[in-house]
Amino acid sequence: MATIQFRDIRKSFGDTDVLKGVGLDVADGEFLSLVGPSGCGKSTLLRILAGLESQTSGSVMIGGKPVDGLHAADRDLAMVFQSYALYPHLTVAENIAVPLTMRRLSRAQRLPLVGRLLPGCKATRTEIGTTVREAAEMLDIAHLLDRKPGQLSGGQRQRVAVGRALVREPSAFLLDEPLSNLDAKMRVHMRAEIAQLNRSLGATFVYVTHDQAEAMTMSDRIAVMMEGELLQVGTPDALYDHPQDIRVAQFIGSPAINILPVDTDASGAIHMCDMATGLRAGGTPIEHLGVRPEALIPCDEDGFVVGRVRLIENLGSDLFVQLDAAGVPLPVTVRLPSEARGRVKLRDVMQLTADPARICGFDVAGKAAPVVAIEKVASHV
Amino acid sequence: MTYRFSTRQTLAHVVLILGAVIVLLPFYVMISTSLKSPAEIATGTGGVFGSQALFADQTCLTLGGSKADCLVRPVLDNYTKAFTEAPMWRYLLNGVIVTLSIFALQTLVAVPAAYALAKLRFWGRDAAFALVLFCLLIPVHAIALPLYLMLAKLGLTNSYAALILPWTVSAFGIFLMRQFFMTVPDDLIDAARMDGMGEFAIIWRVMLPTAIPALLAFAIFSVVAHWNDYFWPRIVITGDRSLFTPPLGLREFKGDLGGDFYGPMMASATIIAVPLVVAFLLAQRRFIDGITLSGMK
Repeated sequence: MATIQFRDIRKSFGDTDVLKGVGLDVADGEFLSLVGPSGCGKSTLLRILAGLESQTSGSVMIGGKPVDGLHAADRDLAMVFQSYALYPHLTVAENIAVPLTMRRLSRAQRLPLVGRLLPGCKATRTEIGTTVREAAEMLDIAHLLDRKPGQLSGGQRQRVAVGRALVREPSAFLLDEPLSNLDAKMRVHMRAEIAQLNRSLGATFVYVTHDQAEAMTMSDRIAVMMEGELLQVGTPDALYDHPQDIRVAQFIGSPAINILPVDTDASGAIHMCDMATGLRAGGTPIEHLGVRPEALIPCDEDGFVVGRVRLIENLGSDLFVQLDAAGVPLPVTVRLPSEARGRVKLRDVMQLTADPARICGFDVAGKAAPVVAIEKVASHV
Repeated sequence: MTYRFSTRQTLAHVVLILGAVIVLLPFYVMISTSLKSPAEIATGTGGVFGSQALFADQTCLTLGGSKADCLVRPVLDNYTKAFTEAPMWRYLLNGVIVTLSIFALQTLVAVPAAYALAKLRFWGRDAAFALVLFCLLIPVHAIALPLYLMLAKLGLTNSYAALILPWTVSAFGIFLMRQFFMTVPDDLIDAARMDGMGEFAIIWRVMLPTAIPALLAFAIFSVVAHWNDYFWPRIVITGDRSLFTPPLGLREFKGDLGGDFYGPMMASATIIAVPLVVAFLLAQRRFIDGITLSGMK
């Protein structure tokens, strides 16, 4: 159980800056996801926390104490790797036992053959065996304890890797894309299990993934990273509803948010393709509007997006309709309830509007800027 | 299933069979000779197994035995002489001591060195590896004389140390193990570090067990080379017969003035070759069902 703090972490490999000053606090027992496209530095940040890589500058604290000079083994962290990294020559039981034997047995007691004759060794080994069995039962892999990793399926290997991490009750768990080698069904299943594990153990989890769906479903908070910088840290809701950066808005959510290029005139009114949107900038001029597919509502008149239907995706529960809208480079996606099935046809022209509270505005630098509705009264004057 | 005649395949097999015959012919001569009487060897008769007719042993007659007493069966006589005329067990034991010590020490040096060259980042790593490759190009015979002089200065000639120490660092072993370690995923090493292992624990507890197939391949090269080596033992073991390795033991039968002893000599050669053949057959199985890295992907 521990808090984790990153203070202005920088990391360069030669001339490339991989991390450009990352500061982040993780609360005790929190499930924090580091999410971002590949190459954004999230794995490097995790490896710096683990002690497998050293930062160029900055400081890492675990439980309030700086750990910068400390070896990976002395940081009391456990890590689950993308490739599981199980020892191929050891059985499942031996794999899970490794962190315990390395810590609880002395160097002499670990020696092959001779070690077993030393006093106290047998008792400790029995104790380790019990702990391993408990961990295996918790993860439902007790029947696999005598197998070698080569004889296990991907999902089973994943559980063994998790077992090896949790067996010694570390202060925090680091997970580096642990689900990306699993098939889709298994991934959804393990997602729930890992989130459940976080709640039952009460330990701090730092979870690295490039899959925003994993981050959204499992985390207490998400930290979005891009190009070595932390763009936004917040709860899944906050990130989804109020992205601080246009890149965060585009990264979070599936299907992706609709980004509409707009102009802001001198009075602050926002126009799209010279059409009034009924919105004005609350502060800095707006360059883009972001609207989630489910925030768009079909209407008969005064819609600020007009487009022709180019594709209808029927998911059963929902209907995703893609429109070619004037002035928008990418197709606009609208989510409609399943009742709309059959009512929308290809090449229909649709008008769309949205609740101003659910529209995100972004300025020229891509940062979030307030958007407010123009009062109806004002527009008649 | 029908088989079609293919000129290409036939030709390939004819070439392979010819190659096999050329390689196996000396073994055939060795085994066949070890079964025959001196007369049959001298005249080139007796086919593969010899007639196995009793003959009077020359040494026995010279020592004054009657002809009836001295009658022996060629195959028994050759193989008995191999053990009685020379301390063959002692030579075999020496061979085992020397080859196993060399292999153990080579592993002790090569595995950590290969780990460092494959997985650790340090200044001059590539240059160090280039030097290892360069060492592969130096023939043993080129450095034999300086090596001998050094051992002589240290007073180590005519000892096990002279047979073992010059071979403890194997550039080939380092190279082979390094190439294998390059294929071991970095995650495995990081996982071991997280689990609390130091670098040496990683080498012996993680890298070595995963490298068993590569180590076996190296063991075959190393053991065969040093078990069969005649050149180096011949240089550093000059007097003491109790230090002779098996190939040196063959010289016991080279005859000089006492006549020729091809039968017992070939019997010794056969005895020397057998352990290697057996060891290879055992290792071959381990090669196939050895630990693979498949558990990590």
